[in-house]
Amino acid sequence: MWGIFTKSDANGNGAHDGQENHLIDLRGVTKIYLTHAGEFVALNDVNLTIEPGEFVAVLGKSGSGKSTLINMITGIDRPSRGEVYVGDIAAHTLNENQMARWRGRNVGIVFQFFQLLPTLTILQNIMLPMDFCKMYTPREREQRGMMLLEMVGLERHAHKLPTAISGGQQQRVAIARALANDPPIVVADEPTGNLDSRTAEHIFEIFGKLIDTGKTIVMVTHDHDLASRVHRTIHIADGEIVTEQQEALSIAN
Amino acid sequence: MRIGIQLAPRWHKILNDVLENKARTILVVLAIAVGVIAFGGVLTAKEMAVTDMNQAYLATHPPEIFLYGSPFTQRTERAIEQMPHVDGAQGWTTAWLKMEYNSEWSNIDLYAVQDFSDMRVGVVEPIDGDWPPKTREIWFERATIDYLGTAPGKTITIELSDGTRRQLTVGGTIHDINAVPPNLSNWPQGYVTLETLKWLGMSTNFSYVAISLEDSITDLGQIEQIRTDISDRLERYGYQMWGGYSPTPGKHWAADQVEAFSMVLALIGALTLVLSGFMVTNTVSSLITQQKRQIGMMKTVGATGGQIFGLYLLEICGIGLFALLVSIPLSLVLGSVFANTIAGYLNFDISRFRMTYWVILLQLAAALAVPVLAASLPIARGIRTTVREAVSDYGIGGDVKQGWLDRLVARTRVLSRPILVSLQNAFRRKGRMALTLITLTIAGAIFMSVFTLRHSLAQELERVMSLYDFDVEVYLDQYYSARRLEQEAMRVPGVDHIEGWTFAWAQRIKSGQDTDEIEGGGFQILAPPIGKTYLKPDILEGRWLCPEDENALVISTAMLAQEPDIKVGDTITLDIQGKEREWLVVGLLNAGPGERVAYANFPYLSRLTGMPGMVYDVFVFTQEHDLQTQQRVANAVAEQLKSAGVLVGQSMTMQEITNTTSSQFDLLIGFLLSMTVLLAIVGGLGLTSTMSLNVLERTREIGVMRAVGATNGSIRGIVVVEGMITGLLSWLLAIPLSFPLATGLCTMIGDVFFEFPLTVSFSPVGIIFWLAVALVISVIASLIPAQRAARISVREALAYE
Ligand SMILES: Nc1ncnc2c1ncn2[C@@H]1O[C@H](COP(=O)(O)OP(=O)(O)O)[C@@H](O)[C@H]1O
Ligand SMILES: [Mg+2]
Repeated sequence: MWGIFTKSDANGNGAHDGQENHLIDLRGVTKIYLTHAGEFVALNDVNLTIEPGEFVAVLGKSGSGKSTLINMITGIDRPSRGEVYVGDIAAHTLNENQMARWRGRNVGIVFQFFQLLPTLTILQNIMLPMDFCKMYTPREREQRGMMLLEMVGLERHAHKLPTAISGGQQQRVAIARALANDPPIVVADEPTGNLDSRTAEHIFEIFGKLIDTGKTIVMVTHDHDLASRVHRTIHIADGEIVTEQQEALSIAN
Repeated sequence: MRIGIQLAPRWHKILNDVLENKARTILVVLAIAVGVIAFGGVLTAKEMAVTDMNQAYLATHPPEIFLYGSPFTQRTERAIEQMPHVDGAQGWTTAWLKMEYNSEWSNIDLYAVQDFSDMRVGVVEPIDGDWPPKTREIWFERATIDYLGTAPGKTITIELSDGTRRQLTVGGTIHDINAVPPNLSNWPQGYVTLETLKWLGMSTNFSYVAISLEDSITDLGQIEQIRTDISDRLERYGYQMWGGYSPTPGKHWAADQVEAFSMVLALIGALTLVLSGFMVTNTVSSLITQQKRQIGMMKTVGATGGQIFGLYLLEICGIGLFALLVSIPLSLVLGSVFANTIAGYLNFDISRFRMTYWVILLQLAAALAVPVLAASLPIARGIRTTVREAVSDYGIGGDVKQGWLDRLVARTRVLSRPILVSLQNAFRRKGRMALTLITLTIAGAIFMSVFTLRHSLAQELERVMSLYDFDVEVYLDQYYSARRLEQEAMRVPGVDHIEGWTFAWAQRIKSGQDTDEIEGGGFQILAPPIGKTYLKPDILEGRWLCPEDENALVISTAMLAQEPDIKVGDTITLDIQGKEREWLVVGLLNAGPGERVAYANFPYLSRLTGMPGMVYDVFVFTQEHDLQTQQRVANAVAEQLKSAGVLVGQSMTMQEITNTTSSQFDLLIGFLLSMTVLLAIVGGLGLTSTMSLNVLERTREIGVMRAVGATNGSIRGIVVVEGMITGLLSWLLAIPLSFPLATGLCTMIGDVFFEFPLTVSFSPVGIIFWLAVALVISVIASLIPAQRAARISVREALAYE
């Protein structure tokens, strides 16, 4: 059932700037927000590389800059300074429109509050990204949508509206939607933050299987338990990547 | 936004609400303003036009009575002036001739009085030239000067019925508010002295006397009684009386029509206002939904429901007052344009552009009442929110129920997901959608109805014209034998055949309350050769005449409007040239707008008038029916008759009549369409506001769509398609609604202008036209919201809470 994904190219697709083939490469990324109180540095000179097939967890306390960091990767936000390379794309150079198209095909996003469109059925929610990005033929879209639903175990609910199913089920639909265009990268911002631990475990299992098919996953989480089961954890404090000890220190403060 | 002065927090909140979303406030202000302008503009125009036309009319010392008889001279004038209740009498001599100017021939009606500088009744007013008119001078009404393109000092040629030509100098210009302007009457009128008529060789006896009564007499019944008295006295003095009539006292001849038509327009204006209220309802309910938390918060800190209600209502009143401020000057502008158009058309002047205090008061009431009423329900519903409800909603969209439509489209494979999103979004807020649709639908239905009215008017005109499908009508100056006329006319090439009619003036004799007899209105009896006539009567009731009929009469709807007590089958008494006879009303026919006539059988009437076998009116039928042929034959027949010694009066061709009448209809349609434009603007503003509210409320969803790959184009497309779906749907709904509306409109316009309900004939033109208009409106209305939606970024959308 997991064969609907193309094995992601473990070597990335082509190099940029003649560097090593990192799938994700953040160089000197700084993000400054202008607030009433003045400038606020949400990310400070962050350097980070992620390799194809890696399962990375991002940890840190609330307000530390986790969402800001992964928004750099998805192109939802752009850096004030620094460069963001994802695959063979310099993400910080794309405009909103190019970004939307590129993101739709290359990065699947899972949000904390599921964010399914309430008027569309579950199946249609999954088919929506294929429509926008003009991927697959119309017939294939429906077949593929059903297979994705099967994958997350919700094929029986295909024609229901999102409000008719539970939060955990909605999150599984959101994951299926993130995978609709078969992107090599999945980015999830606290995907289990709003779920009980059993449901969270289920979601995590799905992620594990996706890693087996060669996807690269970057996941923000508060759950140290889950975080300990991924390839690598990145700790953020006050907009900077820190070592685990440093993080423990900052929590103690 | 910081306000320098210290404001109570609640005032601060009001100001913030109004200023925070300026576009939303502006849309609401505009919609209310357009409604108030539409409504106030029409009433302002009506007030200005009707007041000024009546005032100008009264200033001429207008006649309450017209009497026709013979032989009227200056002695008759003096005699009438001695009679009780009479204030003044003015004899007029009329002559129906032909004139040439710039080598163009047309009919001309000449009006003459003894002395223009000593007019007592229906006074005309000099504008330029050396007043009063002198012998061999012709003066023109100012509207006629423009119509002919002539000027004082120029020379025109008059042709008499025997073919003699005489030259007259244009002496000057006058204004005569009682004259029907040439754009309505089809041909010019000139003013000459009796001396000039004598020089032309015409009779100088008055054709009629216009009589003005004492100011205290304003009741039509009393006026008719006095008219009967005067007529009886004159008859006793030995005059032959032909008839008379009394116009509605104190009013310009078109005042009632202007007033009634204004009411039709004001009705559309009021509707515009009500529909602008729908937009207020939509905007306020969206505002309240957005501010649920604020309301909950205000309640937690001790605000009562009543206080919160008052707060929002004040906000709305402020917006209403602001709209009023904008609309007062603009409704004066609209009113002035309307009033000026009417004045130009009916040839009077608007003395001063001005507002009327009761119209302003009405506008004030409307600008406050409409938004307050429209906002009350959503506010009342909003303040019922409990604190708990208010602080506990989060996440995307709220709950959506799967309706039949959603289930229907859920399984569709034809529509792509983005179109599906548009379609479903359109119906997310059912109440909002319904109000928006009602507005657009009503605008569309009225638009379609106006086109149906136009079509019905054209059809009616064509139908009436087809009843009279002659080519040229030639009036004679006296009675001639039908056979002789036929012999002469048939010599003209292009003439197929001719038909001669006779006519007579008739006066109805009604028995009054007491033993006295009262004269009803005067009218014409036309007598075609029954059995041979071209006339295809449009019989509504009873029957048409047959060749054996003697004193049988078929009356017209317009005559029935004047004498509403007559029924088919009644016997009525008519006075024709002093001979009182009983007539049997056998039928009712539609003779066309304003034709106060009755039909009788030719042999009987021509015997009664002492002219057996003689005709007065000749209809010519040509072999070809184009304007050129008709004009050529009209001239040739007139020449031929003249050379045979026949005294020929005016003549007119069918095409000329048709053209003038249809240009009158265009004015009505123009007014109605401009009101529909205002209605459509409110519809467009309503749709813009609906689409903006939808986009605002769906910021998060739009962000999510963007996160899964939607480009600017796709997002814009989703919004614009949603707008177009609304527009298309309103078009579909407007079609059936336009049928009853068009029927109502045709009935109203028919009643106002033709004295009978117009037969409705539906026009697809309006339906097709509105499809285009509705689509254009919906695209324009959704472009700005679509652009705003396209600017929403994922980050903002998700941060938005
Ligand atoms: N648009 C913004 N404007 C100003 N400050 C922001 C904005 N977005 C985030 N921040 C601030 O940046 C910091 C990091 O935010 P975020 O990345 O969302 O943290 P988290 O680690 O909880 O995901 C926070 O202190 C937040 O207040
Ligand atoms: Mg976060």
